[in-house]
Amino acid sequence: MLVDRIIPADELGPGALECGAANYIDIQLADYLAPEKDAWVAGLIALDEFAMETQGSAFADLSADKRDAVLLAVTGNGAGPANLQTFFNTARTYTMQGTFGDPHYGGNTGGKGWDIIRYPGPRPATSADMQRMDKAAEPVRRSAWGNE
Amino acid sequence: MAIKLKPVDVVVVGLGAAGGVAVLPLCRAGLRVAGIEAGTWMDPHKDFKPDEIHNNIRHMVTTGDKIRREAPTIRHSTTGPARRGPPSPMMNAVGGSSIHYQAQSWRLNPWDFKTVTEVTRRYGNSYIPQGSTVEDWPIGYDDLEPYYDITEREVGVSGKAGNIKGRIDKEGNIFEGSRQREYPMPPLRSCDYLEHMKKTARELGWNPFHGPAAINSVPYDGRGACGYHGFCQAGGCHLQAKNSTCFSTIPRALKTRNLTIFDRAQVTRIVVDANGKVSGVSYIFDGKEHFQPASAVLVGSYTYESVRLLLLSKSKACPNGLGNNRGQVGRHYFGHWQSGPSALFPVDLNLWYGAFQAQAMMIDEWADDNFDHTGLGFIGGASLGVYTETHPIAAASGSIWGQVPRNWGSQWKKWIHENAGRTARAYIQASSFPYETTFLDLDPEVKDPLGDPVIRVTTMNRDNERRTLKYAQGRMVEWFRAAGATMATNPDFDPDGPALSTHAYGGTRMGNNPDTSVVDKWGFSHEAPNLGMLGGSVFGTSGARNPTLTIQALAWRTAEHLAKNWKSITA
Repeated sequence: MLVDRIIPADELGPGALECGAANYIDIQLADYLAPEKDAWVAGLIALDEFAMETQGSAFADLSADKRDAVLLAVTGNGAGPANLQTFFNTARTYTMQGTFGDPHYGGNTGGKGWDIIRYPGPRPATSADMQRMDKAAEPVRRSAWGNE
Repeated sequence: MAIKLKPVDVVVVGLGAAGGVAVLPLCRAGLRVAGIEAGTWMDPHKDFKPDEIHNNIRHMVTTGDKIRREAPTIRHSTTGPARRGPPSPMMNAVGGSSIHYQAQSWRLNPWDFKTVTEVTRRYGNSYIPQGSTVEDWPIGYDDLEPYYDITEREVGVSGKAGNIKGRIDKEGNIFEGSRQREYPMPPLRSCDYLEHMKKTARELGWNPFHGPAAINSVPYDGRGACGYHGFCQAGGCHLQAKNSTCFSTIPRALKTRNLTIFDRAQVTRIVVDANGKVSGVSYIFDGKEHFQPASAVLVGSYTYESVRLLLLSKSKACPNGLGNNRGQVGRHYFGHWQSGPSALFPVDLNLWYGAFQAQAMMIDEWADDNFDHTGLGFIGGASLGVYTETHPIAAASGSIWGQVPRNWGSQWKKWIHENAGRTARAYIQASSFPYETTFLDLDPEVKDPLGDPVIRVTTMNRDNERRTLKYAQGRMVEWFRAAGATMATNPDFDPDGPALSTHAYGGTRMGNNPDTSVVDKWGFSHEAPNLGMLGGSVFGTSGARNPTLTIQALAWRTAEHLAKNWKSITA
């Protein structure tokens, strides 16, 4: 898995995988992001080839540390192949959308991603108190589209 | 064969911020108006959501289909190739871009209308930027003041006056032109962060004030007040508290029963008779060509669309395009030079909610000619604004300010946990001017699906605005630092200026001289007397602030002039 290395589960709480980012990507590649699906699949294959070459195994079969090492090689100072850097940026963009976006799109399950950045959640309207600097608003974890 | 409709008095092309306002005085004067709009109605309950993916990533409320089909091309020399640019965030819908706009509703300052005279008087003619085609507007602030007053009430604007009949109030903008009375609504709600920035600005000796906005701060016009839910940018208002023309002036025009809206109808040509007078418009609806005869036509589409429509409307009487016998259509075009500095604070700012740049603390000290420009190397200035509303994906994806090694992994996650809510952004808008080397014409190669050429933008290096923006960025960083920001940074900007802009000016400039302008001081073509132009395309200077209220005041004035002089204009 890739999304769990971008936002890992750790002592702070769930990561992108637990927040449903992978689910978001699967659903959206079959829907709104369908035109990007071929590029995504090609990126995954290229990542596996690079992982095989540098770490001796397909990306998903590697330990977390080794997957991090692969991604570091991809993102560090121009070391990795250019097509993989582009793929990583796309993967990061989708991971952010699937972790911090509205749950309506299949990610950010239960609004858990919003806890990571302490976003108080979408509301139809807010009171003046909810814009105070010394006190955060009580979190709401509902989709803007209903209670999915 | 085109389907010919029953004649009307006036066709208004486009029902956005400009056309959506112009229809009201026309209908009230008893004229029968056809409003022809490429988009359709949007549903506030279905289409407007506090959802970043919907608004800011997929642009569901900001970019219309027609705009996508005819995205302009861009080039940076008069000889080089032009490349297709991104589609502008311009909506095709009843209400147009006023559905999603940030709703800052400024009057331009008096200096903006008389730049050449004022600069020459204070600094001498050598201060006018080289290569610039700037001229004084044919009207002054005082000519437009009554129309600013009307539109502030008809559209609904909240704010605090800084100058009522010469009486200065430091809670408002002390640099604004004299106004006849207070805004119809008080400013939008403030918050801790804005009050902190206000206090800091005062310590710097500046005069901070709440910016004016076409958003209800209190119930107005039968609709409720703003909910400050933090998804105002690029979104429509589910509460209808943002005074988009589809909630304000258009419904009132419909009530007169003099307005018929033709939606999903794309105007392709303005039709001209043998004498060069406008006789109506051709439009496509449901794949079929229609002809709507009219005694007068007001063009209220966006700058790129309006210039294109004139250039495409060739006829025997106007072989170079409508109103273009002197080659002025497309000339004097310019985008608005803007910048968005940002800052990192050591404390939680809690900017998640709010109303984007409408819930703002503004500074006008460095705008227009409000400071001495001697030896600075530029004329004009910029407004500075700090504001609220941070969206979660953008906050998590923002700059790491070099404070963690990379923007993924556990260390970064911990960093955004602490800092995603500690970044603030600012908005700088600089006075921008027209130049010889910056203009619009038809692209010789790229066409839309109907086979008509798209607009080509030519934009080239300008020193004046680059210096203005640099100077203003310095002031903005000073403000952020004084307020306790640990980091503050200015983004780079293109020295060729913005090719495309959501504030696109000129192309059908207003002026007294037909050799240097397209429309007269009332907004009517120098060549086709019953053709009026609405929108930013008539502006000769930008001012250091958002254009919409000025567009609306001018649209009202042009429409009223048509109604009052109906016989002579349509004779």
